[in-house]
Amino acid sequence: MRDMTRQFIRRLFGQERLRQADLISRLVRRELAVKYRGSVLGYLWSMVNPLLFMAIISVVFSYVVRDIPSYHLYVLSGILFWNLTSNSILGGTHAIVGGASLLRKVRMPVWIFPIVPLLTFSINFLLALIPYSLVFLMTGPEVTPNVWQLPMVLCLFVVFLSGVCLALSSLNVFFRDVGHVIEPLLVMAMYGTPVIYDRHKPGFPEKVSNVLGFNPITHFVEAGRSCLFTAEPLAASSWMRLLALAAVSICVGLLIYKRLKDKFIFNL
Amino acid sequence: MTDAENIVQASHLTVAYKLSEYKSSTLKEWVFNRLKGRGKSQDFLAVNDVSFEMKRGESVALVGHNGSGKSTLLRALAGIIPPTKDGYARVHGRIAPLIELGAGFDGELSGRENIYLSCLLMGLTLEEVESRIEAIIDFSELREFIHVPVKNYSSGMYARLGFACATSVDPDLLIVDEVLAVGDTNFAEKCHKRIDELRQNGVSVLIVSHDEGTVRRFCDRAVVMNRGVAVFDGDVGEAYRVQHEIMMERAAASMTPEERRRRDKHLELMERSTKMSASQRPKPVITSEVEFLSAGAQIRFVDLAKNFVVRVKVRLRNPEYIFGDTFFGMEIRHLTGARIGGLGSEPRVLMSESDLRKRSHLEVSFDFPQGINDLCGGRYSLIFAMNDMGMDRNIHFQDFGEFEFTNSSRGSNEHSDIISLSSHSSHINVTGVDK
Repeated sequence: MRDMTRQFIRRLFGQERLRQADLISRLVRRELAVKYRGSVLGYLWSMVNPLLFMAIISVVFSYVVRDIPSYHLYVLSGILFWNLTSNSILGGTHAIVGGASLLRKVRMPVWIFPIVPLLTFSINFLLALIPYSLVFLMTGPEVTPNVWQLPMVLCLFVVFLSGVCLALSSLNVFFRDVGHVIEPLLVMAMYGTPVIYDRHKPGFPEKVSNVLGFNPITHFVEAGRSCLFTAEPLAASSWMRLLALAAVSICVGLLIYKRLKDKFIFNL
Repeated sequence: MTDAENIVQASHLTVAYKLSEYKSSTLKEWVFNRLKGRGKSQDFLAVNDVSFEMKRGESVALVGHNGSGKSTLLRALAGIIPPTKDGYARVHGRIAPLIELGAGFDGELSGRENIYLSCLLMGLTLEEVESRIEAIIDFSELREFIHVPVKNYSSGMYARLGFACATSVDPDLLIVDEVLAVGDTNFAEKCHKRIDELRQNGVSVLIVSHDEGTVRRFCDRAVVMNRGVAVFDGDVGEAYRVQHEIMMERAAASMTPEERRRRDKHLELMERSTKMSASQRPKPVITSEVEFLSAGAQIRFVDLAKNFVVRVKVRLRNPEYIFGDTFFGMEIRHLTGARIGGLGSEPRVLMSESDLRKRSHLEVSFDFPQGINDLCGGRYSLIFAMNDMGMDRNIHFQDFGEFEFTNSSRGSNEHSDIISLSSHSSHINVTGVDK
């Protein structure tokens, strides 16, 4: 299986890309291995953690939010997507600066650095789907027919996030402010994303709902959730929107990265 | 000369650093610098218009004082630092950069995991790493510890693993920046052998080292860097002469007037003496006397079975007539005049000329911590000599005469033996042989 994948990459993209793929997969493995080293539960933490969050939030907010059925699942699916977003953006932003010692000694493509945390947390996301499915099967409604769309939404989301990570990580090399400001911004963005509430419920102020529409993450979370949870399939317009967001993000990210990459080494 | 025969091809290579005083690393600084009109910071040319090529299989050293730009040049050649637009550097083949041993190691991971990581970083594919990993572990001699996180390694073990990885990637060009000085002597020797092996297999080596011995051992050619410019490119010996001049000039810049006057006098003398024939050259006047010590106290008779020190007290008059580094040597001779053994400060120079010229008194100690147990007691003569390596001449030769030596671990020496065979042979066999 592994050899087949690698043959495939070699055929399609050439030896150089295969090397990079090998390196990236090693670096991702390292991130995962180091992250849970020394903890008893190990990998299980990436599954247990969102469950604990779900428990806390659904207990606290179930008194406020009463009109969303299976609220705990609604929250959990939101948390999974939000964790992926915030962890990978946070990790990605600091990645190039954090790789400084390596970049000064070895010639390697710099873009690998922000991509590694993104892939690491994507794997974490996939792992966290296991407890989600368990909770869903035990307590949830019927399985939605559009689960099969989830991988595609996820791919688009990862492309979108790569653009964001590339851009922020590159900018952070020149202005370390980026790394400082991103944390409060992410907290803000979490409340600006329908993680614990539903902006389409009747009674939700329409103005606020429209403003939230400017948050690109909102669309990905809603699309992802509709695959996991809601029964309605994704509309074609939604797909186009996701595609456009991902394309714009990766283009802008690559543009910023390409403009700045030759100057990285002088500022690390 | 076509590109294919050159492994390294650099043309008008220039690397500019922004001087960091006004470099802005936060938004606030950037805005302020822009407002104050110092956004355009001054460029510092760490490498200035260097053209340089290396043939396949050639070994070249970069020589220069600290900050001369040699490490920057190395990094530019390795593709780590991009050059400015006008110049370029190309390396045709795989580079193994030994810029720091164990670059990219993660302390939390095991030695084995780190081999994967390090080799992949240097551009191997997974299959290539897998086919080499056993050889790497063997070379590093760390098989027992290969599953231990490297944060628990000693610095020597760390260096061993790093060196093993870097030299196992089948490089076409090995780039070595001051890393051969790490580890114990055994390991250093092993590294040197490995580099020799690689060179025999046609690998080119580019070395930055302050150690002249290392450079002379590996390199056929040296490039001298000064203030970012390659001022000399050619024979290693000649390169060090150029480098020496640069160092003298730099030292002169920070000299007091008194020091400068003394140096000028010295240089003038040196200039004059190189023109003179060897016998005419002025020599320093040197007198010396010898004493013996054991366990820190002065002794009259040396017991060869115990530790002792031969200490020579040297008095120098006009030390300015010493022109180069100084070699110190001693010799023990038998009454017949035969040389029993000698000891000299080569190849490491114990004291460089700049230190020497400030002193009028020196003490040269030859240490024998284990004694010389092989030597039987008796009367031997002692000779002390000093050579001026700059002029390649002897400047002091002193025969101290005979001294009585004893050896308490041997019995009486009735045959006046020099070495005791009885301590080397335990018994004598006599057997009849049938014909």
